[in-house]
Amino acid sequence: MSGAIVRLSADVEAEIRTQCERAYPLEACGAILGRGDGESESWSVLAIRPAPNRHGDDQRRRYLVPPEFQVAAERDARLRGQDVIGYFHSHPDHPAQPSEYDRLHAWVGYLYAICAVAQGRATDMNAFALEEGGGAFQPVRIEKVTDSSPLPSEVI
Amino acid sequence: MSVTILIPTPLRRYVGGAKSVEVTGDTVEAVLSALADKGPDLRRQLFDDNGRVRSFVNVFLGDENVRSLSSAGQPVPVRDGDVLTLVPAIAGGAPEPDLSRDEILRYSRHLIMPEVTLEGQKRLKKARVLCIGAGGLGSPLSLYLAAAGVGTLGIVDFDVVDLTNIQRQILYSTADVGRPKLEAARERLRQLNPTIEVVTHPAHLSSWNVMDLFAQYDIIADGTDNFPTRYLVNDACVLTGKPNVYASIFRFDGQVSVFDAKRGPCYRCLFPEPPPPGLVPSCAEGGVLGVLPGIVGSLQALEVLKLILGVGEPLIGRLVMFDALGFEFRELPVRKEAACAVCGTSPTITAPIDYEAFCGIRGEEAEVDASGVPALGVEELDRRRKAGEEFHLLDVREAHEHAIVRIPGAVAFPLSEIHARIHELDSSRTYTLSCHHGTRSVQAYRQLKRAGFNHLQVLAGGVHAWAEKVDPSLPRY
Repeated sequence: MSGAIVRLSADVEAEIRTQCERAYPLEACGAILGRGDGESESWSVLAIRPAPNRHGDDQRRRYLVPPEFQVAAERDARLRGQDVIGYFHSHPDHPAQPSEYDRLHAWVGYLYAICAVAQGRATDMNAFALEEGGGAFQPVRIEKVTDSSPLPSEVI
Repeated sequence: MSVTILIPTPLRRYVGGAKSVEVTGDTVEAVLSALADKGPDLRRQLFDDNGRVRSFVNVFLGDENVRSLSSAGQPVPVRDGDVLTLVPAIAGGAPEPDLSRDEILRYSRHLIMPEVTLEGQKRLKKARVLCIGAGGLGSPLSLYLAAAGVGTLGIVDFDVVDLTNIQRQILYSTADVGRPKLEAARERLRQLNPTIEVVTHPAHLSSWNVMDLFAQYDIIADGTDNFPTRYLVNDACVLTGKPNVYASIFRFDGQVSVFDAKRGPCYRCLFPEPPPPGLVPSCAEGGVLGVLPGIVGSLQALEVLKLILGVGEPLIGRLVMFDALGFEFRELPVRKEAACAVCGTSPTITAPIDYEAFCGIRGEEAEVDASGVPALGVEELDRRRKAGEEFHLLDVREAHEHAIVRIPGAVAFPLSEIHARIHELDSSRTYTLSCHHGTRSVQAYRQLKRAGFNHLQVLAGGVHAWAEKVDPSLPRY
């Protein structure tokens, strides 16, 4: 998966960072809307939808996206001609690297963005996808784009 | 029945990339089974070995989670044209903090206790505690919390280390005099325990910043010495749902309690309103025995650790009073008041208010109303003294203070003895009243005025201003 790439505009990236800072010291989470999939190893992020963190235990180190939110996000994406291509979450006061817990709960085919928040300030952001079989995460290169809708619309 | 199943992106690979699939069946279970027939890999994703839908796959029929529709495992019927959405559970998070080899050794006396263990020590490491004030109480509090391994220790203070602090504020050494407290505290705490994070907040805690600040912490430990901040801390703790581990000290007495409005009373349930300005002196005015904050601040640290570890009986709904001279601990039950303005059943305070107005005082120390009181500056007094003019200076401080330092020519005339000694004064003379900083001289002015003395003035700034501006060789206290 060395060629895996995600295109992300500066404004969507800023939105993710803001959400992650706002949730600090708790973990932020939310859906990533856009196009692309795990098989092509290529994604374009077009929007995010911040989700409430419903983890019942320790929301500073855990997140759980409520399934009702996912259904709404899926519908939202569908209406925009997009898909929920993955999810983002923050690691408060911890590096932007997936944890073992992240791996155990991840799905092959989704894009996972992790933003580190150090003392309330968003710092590094990295993207990952679970490799075939789910044994490990592979990094997905983030390509910064200026336009938030870089893909040409489909033409029949 | 023909039903549409919406496929999330991770599962599309099993259905040839399709975003949705049409299948037939009478129940949700039958429809999903028909979907799973499209391939063994998809079946493994959807069903466990016992043929049940995996717990990490949610199935929605329209907007309803099928799990909430299905009672006692009964099949959920579907109608023609229904839409099923498959929702893969999304969860994750940062790794649990692990203890390093050094940390395990450092905390070994904790780890071997069944009430703490490795689990409890990790909880301490994850904990975020905010200490309000880095003074007498904040010193032992922050030192013990740092030593015990509280992972993130925030401190709010804006003061500079003063030589008068060193008698009890054991965070600082004599060499720190003149440095910002937070700078010295951070250095000392990091030396004590380099594995923890010390976050300094060099600010006046105010209604503007308190909510954002408290939101970043789990537990607030109040070690302030003034009423506006104490009510501010209490109200903000109630509003943000954080426990307030409270302590206060004065001379030989201390108080400790845990105010957690979720589980018990708050500070306002005990004291709905502050005392009148000037009635309760601060440590700067009344003094404090150096070791007392050490005892009381340690009790505060103890309660913080108990809350984090979830062990023992926290001091919720109980106020412990310590009398050092009598060596007595007394416990007073504190009830949650339904009428409490902030944590009661219909609170009137729903956001931080103006606490200086509420407490009727400004700044750190209580000030008396000096309006209409004629004042003399220390330089002017010095000029008159040097010019040989007659003046009658009454020092209204107590005799033991008079012994520390006095203005030449001042007569000891303690505030507490005014009534008994009033006959010594001559009402035709003009008296200048002097004290430590200028508070008690105003009180003496009012008493003498009521007794019929009309030629009175106070010395602005008291002996402190004298030692500062006129004779710097004199000691200050």
